[in-house]
Amino acid sequence: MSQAASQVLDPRRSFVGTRAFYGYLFTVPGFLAASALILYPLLFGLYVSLNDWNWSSGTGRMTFIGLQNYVEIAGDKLFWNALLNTFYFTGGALVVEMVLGTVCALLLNAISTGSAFFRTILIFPLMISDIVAAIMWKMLLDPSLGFVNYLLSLVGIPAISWLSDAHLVIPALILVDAWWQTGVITLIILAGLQSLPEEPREIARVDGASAWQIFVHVTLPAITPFLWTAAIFRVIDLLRVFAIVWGTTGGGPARASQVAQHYIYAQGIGGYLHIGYATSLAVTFAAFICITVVVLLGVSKRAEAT
Amino acid sequence: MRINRRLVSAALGLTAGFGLMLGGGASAEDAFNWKQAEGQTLRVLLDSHPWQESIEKRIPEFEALTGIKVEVSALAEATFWDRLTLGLSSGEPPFDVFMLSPNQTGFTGYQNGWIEPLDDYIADKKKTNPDYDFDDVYKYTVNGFRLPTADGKAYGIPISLETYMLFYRTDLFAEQKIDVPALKTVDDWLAALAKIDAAYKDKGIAAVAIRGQDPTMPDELLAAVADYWGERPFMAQRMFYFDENWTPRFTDPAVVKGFELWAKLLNYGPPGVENFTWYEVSNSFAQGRTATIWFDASVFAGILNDPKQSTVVGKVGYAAVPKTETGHATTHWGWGISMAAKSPNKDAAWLFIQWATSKESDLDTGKATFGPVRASSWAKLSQTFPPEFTKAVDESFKMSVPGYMYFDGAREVADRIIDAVIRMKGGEDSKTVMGELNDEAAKIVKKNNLTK
Amino acid sequence: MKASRIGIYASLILLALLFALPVVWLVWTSLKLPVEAAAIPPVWVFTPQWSNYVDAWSDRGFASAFLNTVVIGIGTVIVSIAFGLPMGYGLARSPIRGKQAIGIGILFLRMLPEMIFLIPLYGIYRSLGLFDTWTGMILAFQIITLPFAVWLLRGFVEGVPVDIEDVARVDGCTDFQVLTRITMPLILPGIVASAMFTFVSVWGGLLFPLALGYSHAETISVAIANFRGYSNFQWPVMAAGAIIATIPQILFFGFVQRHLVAGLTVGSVKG
Repeated sequence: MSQAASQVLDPRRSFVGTRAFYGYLFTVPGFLAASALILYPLLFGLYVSLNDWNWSSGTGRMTFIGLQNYVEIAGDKLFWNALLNTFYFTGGALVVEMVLGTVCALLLNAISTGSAFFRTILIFPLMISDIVAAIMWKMLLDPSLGFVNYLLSLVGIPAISWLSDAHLVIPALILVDAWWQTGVITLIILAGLQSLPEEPREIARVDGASAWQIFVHVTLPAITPFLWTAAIFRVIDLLRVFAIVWGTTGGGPARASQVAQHYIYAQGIGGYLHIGYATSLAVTFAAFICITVVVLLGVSKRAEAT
Repeated sequence: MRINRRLVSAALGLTAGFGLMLGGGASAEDAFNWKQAEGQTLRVLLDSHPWQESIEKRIPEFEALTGIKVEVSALAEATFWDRLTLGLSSGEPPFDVFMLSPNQTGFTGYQNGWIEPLDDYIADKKKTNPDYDFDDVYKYTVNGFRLPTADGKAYGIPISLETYMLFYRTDLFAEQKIDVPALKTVDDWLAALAKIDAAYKDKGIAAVAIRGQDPTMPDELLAAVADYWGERPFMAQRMFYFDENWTPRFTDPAVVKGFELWAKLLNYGPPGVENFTWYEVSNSFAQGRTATIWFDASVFAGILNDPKQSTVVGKVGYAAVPKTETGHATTHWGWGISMAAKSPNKDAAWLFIQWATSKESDLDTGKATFGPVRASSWAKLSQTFPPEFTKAVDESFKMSVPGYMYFDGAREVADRIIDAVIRMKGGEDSKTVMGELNDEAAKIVKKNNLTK
Repeated sequence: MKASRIGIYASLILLALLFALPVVWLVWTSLKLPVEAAAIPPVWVFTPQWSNYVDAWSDRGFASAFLNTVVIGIGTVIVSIAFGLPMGYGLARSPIRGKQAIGIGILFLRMLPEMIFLIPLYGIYRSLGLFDTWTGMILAFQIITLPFAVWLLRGFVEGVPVDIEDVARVDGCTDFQVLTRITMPLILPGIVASAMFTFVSVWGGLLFPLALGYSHAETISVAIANFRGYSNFQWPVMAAGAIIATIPQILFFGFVQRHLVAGLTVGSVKG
């Protein structure tokens, strides 16, 4: 690094043709492209969020109102409801997927015959896009014609209104998401398990530890970094959930399952055309995601340090 | 309020004759020509609807007649309105012609100048077929499309007219020995529903099919509220929900009762009724899984009587909305067809619109929708519809008011209305729910600068 | 020992059933008549209606959405790799400043909800005439795919030993030649994997095409989303459409399986 820096700084040597020169040459076009594509909408969005821009009464009028949109968010019960639903969904799905994914990974790691076969089936739902999963589960969970309720009726459980009962709807969506995305956790944990050396577990086994003790005291600590990675990535994607909810319940019944991205969509181009306000909601929601991830990263660092 | 359909059609026949005579005198160059936009391509956005199915079958005829190529896209109603709003607001709409109703989307389009007014096209002899006979189209339906006042310009030509009424299974009601003509009031009907519910619920037939959390449900809910409203005046566009000072009236007893009735009816619905759109309402009945349809469109008659879609053909009964202790009324609503103001092919677009709303087309689509928009079509078709249907529709129109709600923020209010009904269906106290709805509505109109 | 083995396999079979059954049901529904699909208890024996697939394919806009997605997907891949490969290489190899910051930036980007881009982009596209165009869609997808490609490719470049490149440098190659002649052939499988990941994220992406596309740039996800308002009467066609929409993803998944973990954790600080 220092050598490279001296190359750059040394006026006697031509900068053109040095490794750093190529480094910049390679990096700068992509960086510029990314800036144009990413930063411009972002900055424009930040500016829009400080304006009253309501297209339903005319697209031309954009009035600067400072932080007023953000003040309004504080009193927007529906936004807080959506945010709460988002975190409920995220937390629930995270727990279910982490547990299920770890179990799948441990089982897959324990076998050799047929492991490729089982692995493919267990991660198969990852190949399906979110909207397809949503459409499919909307049919499966149909209260009177759905296959899920039919299976339950075989064991004597009466029809359940999965997607139209205010108390059941988020748990039902959590299960849908668990079906769809548990494979992410399975794969990451499996990669972790496969990178572990055999010896510590061998030694423990020789010492007479039970399978459970080996898992808790040897395997689990060793795969903790992988668990954290998996959890953080799932949280980022879970918080941004849209299609799984929008495609099944549309946020209902009576907003019991409305999530943040859906509410922002409805306020903006998906409904009321309150462009300024919707953008300020998006900025606020982004801040919530960032805070959550930073906190999780901090906790994971501390946990790994101890 | 209601115009006698037959009288109007007779008077209009005369006018049409005049038009024809005047048109005949014009020189060949100025004459109307179906081929005037030959070679152009027209993009048409439609809602999945019996009208759309019917007109789409005949589009090759239009293509042959005009030499215009038509690209149709049709969407289920739940997605239709979102896509229409998005497309219109994109500045360069990805369609030239689209289905529209005088609702919030229409009003937003009107305020932004996204929709083309059509009066000049109708008046232009070069652009409009002398046989078009616009006056044959029910005036009160056309007036719905004169946004935002009845003497403004027409932003759409009506294509289908529907009133909100009741449908019931004649066989099941007969089996339970319920004399339907004797059911005069909502309470009579509720008693009958209780009987039906007790008899068939375990057999997988629910007593009621009704729209739930569907963006269009508030339109039908207006009929229920109208039924309780009585003779009191209210403002068009704001409907029963706001007075002249934009003070919300969701705590008005008539409004509360209308909402309560809807919630009660939802509780007689099949599992998952909370998420029913009109497709599920009509399908569940057509597939024999529900015994009645409440406050829904006369257009369903077309679906329910089509053996390809319905297993209950011949077992469908029709009734106008029954009276309540405080009033007796229903509402009607119309689909129309409109032109994008930024369309590059306006002449072709107008040719399509006038063709799709011509006498021949309306007579044909009217067979599918059971709701033609021309007096001449109704005169012919009403002979072919089931007499009980015609009677119920005539009765309905005698007491019907237009049910169009639009103002800045109407869509937000409508979404809150849905929330309120679903919450009440879930057992929440109507007083609390309606009180909250009233407060929210006040905030919404204030936020949209309607009140200071 | 033996008993635990049986237990493991039994659990795996149970889990496999849970994950596979919904898909089996979907395939099954896609072959029924509407009446059969809506029957409870389910109809177990029926004549497969392959015509449902034809109906789904010829359903308005479905076929053109499929083709649009192919074109937009390929366009997005070309742009992402063209910009992402040099950038990934630069990040992996060159002694330039700010590498760490870019890595964090990529993770940060992944955290932003799509909505924060969608609404401003919609406004920008309206005025630039990019709404409902292939170009507009390819550019919009770069927001997701470019950082993704950069990070993945950086990882693949780092997997190539520096020694090999140094040998080439001693022989007089410039960095550009090193990249094109030495490194690129070595990481070709990685480039292919990145391309496929990019393609699959376009294929499955919903929000950008939902807001920025319409008919000319409507993608398969939006075509599927338009099924939402259908009632049970159209279940078989919906199921058939869902399956058609998933086939390309299944095909591509075979290729990227090996790199899935790297793909799933793009932006991971541990790299």
